[in-house]
Amino acid sequence: MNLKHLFRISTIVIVTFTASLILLAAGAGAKSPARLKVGYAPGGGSILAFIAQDQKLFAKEGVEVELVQFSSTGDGLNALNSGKIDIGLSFGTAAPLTFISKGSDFTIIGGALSGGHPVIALPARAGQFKSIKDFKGKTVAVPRLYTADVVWRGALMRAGIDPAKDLKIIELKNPSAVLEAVKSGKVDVGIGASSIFLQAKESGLAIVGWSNDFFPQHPCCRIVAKGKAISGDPGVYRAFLRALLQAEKVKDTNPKLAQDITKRYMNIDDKLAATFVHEPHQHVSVDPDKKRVKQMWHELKDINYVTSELDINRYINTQLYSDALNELLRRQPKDRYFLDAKVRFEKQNM
Amino acid sequence: MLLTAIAKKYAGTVIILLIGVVVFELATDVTGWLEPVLFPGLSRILPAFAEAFPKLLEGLLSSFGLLLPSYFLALAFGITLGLFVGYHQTVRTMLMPIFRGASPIPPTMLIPYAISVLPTFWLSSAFIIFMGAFWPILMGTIHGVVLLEERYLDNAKALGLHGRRLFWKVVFPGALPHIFAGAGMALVFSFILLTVAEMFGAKSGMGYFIQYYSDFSDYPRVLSGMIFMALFIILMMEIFDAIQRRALHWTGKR
Amino acid sequence: MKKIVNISNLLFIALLAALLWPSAGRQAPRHLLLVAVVIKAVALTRQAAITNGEARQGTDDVSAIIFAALLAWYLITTRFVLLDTMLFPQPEAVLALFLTELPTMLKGLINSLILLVSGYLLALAIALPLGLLVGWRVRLFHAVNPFTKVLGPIPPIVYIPYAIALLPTFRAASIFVIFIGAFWPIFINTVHGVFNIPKGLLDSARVLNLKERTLLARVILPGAMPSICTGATLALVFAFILLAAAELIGANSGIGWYVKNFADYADYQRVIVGIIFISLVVTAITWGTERLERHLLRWRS
Repeated sequence: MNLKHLFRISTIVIVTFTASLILLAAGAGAKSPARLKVGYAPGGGSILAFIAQDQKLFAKEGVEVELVQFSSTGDGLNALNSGKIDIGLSFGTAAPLTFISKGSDFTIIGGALSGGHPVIALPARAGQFKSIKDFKGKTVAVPRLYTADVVWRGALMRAGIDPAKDLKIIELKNPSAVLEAVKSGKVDVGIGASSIFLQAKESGLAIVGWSNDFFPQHPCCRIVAKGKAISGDPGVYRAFLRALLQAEKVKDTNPKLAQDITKRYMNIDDKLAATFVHEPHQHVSVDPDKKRVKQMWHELKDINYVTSELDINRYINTQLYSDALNELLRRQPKDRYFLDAKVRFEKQNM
Repeated sequence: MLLTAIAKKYAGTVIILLIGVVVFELATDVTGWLEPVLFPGLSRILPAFAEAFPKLLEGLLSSFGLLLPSYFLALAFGITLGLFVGYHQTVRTMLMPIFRGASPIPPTMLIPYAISVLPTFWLSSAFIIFMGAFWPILMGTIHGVVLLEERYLDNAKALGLHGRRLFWKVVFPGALPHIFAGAGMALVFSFILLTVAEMFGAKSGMGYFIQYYSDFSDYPRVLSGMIFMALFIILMMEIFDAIQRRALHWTGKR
Repeated sequence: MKKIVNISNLLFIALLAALLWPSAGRQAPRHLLLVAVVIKAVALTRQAAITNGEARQGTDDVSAIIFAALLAWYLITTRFVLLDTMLFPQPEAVLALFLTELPTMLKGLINSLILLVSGYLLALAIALPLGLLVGWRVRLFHAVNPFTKVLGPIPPIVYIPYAIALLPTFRAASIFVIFIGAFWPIFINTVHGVFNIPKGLLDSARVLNLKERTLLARVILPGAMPSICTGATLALVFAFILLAAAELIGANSGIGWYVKNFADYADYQRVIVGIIFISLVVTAITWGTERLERHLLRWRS
């Protein structure tokens, strides 16, 4: 192989690549108005989007939705922040609040998931954990900054336990690592997440509690969008929420269909899909639950995950959801499901 | 004839592989000695592999569609810049501290910036792989030029070779072994970065597949994906070695 | 005259001008000014001390580049806000934060170094002899080669759960991650190094009819040294890159942990502070290893 050829080939490669780069950049131009890029991390929080997409509810409401997948919450929120996606669907509650405290123009406009994270331990040690006080003096594995972690720390604080002094915390990258740490016996108990619930059971671990015990119905995944985009075109976000509300109704009235859709969209087994759809500790609801989001915000500040003087009310928008719900009730005034939703909305947000 | 030659060459490898598989099966399916979730036996890996095969093929195409352009771009930039920097001492003194300071930045840290600055997710992913492949190639090339033995250069100059001809006939070929070493490392690192680069905005890919099922602790699928990717890595590295042998044939090595 | 009007000085003056330019409601950035002045002072001292013309030029150019970078950074983020301030913080804020965070980071560095040194030395101790052996014995090479090609690119996300499950402590799992990162560059480059030993050297050695152990240690090892040095430097860089992943296993301090921690909290000012710190540390370490390398390769020239 002539070396000069090698050099020439590389020059051609550079030119071709740069040319295609330019073409690509040009192609990635403006989107038409009724188009939304929705970012999600696959799990219980994204089920409603799958149902809405599958049952053509987005199309019905006049929105074209492109689902963009992220493995990491941080990457998803960064993409939202820099306008590469329009809505963040299942990136937790703590993370968006953290971004807001750092100056991001995020607004929480709805919910996706509440509760449902198991606390796991080896069967031999399961009996030791009956209340929050039993965590004192133990070694605990936690998935750093996941909702379950935040909720648990809030509960510790309220019980007067100091995580730095009264127990030993092993921070791990994600719930999978927590699962392995508990199985290996190196820690006494682990704060897990819904994504490893099934595997924990199949590994023979005991579920000694739920995140719901620490903070009943705590918000897990919230729908987040950019404030400026919402004030620019609130109609499309209302349409999005209308579609999700109808998807929520589908899930509750036809769980088998929901499970089938989840299985197909997430490429997982029946058993895993079933846990995401049917597990009783998880609540899937589009309601923004402003009161609990505010509680979460104050807890984040109390446990020093967030330092901020911002008024969190400015970053939660319940009007869009209310409008969406009212529109659906206008179409079908006698619909039991949405009437109940309206009652719940008033209780959780006003 | 060719078949027997190949068989002879890889006989050792195949034997080690077979022994490994047998031991693994004994420890998992047969005795259940190893914990089954983390160490699924072939009875669970193989069906998962078969079921996932179409998805993995699809992933293969999109991963290579991401990896190859990024890698070749890194090759082009890295070798060109490396040759230039290695050959001119002033430039080298000037830029080396900067290279040394910039190279340990983990590509994962660059993700938010890649997403924010570049227009599409594909470009951001390609950028991550590019940054990962670029440094080993650059450093390898520079090392190769710098370590070129003085006596080769002296002999060449004594023969009357200067400037361009000196460069193409002596310096570049002399640095080639190191360049290939760096390029090989870069190729390996690119595959590792596939899991990281396909973590956002991707719908398929081998790295995407592995990362996805890791999040659910679905090890039969994780291992299937890993085995599949491994087969293609072997293929790529064999091609790489063949190119390397041709390019370095003048050195008369094994 | 020519000596005074050069790029470095011009950029220095431009930087000072930009920083001191009066602007409504904004203080002059003290830390940035201090850094600029210190760099210029260091550059001048070095220039006075060095007599080699080329190296002098080099020092000058390094300072020129730093000034250009600082100027660009300042203009893009402070003077004309072109980029998102959360992701791209202002240099003044970063530098001020750098000073206040220094004690934390130094403490973290010590913890990280323990992990790094353990993992790195372990990798060196195993990869070097193994590489020499495999590079020397052709049959062994052909048998083992496909496996090395496959085991190398296994991403940390896959082997970390196994490390946690199989190794006795979390610390061990962290060291294992660093070990894996450092192992492959050293191993592959050692093998390559053995392959590329000049034939003449091998022939001369064969004539001496040495025992294999001596042959490996006295002839092969020095012969492969250039390649080994390349591999060792690369391994060092990879070890640092993997530090963040390693310290995600049960650590709560360490410089890799620091960067990842604040990235999760979207505190990019601290992330950049941490990255600058790591860059400085690695630059210092590789400067040291380059001297070591020159010493090891001195017999060549």
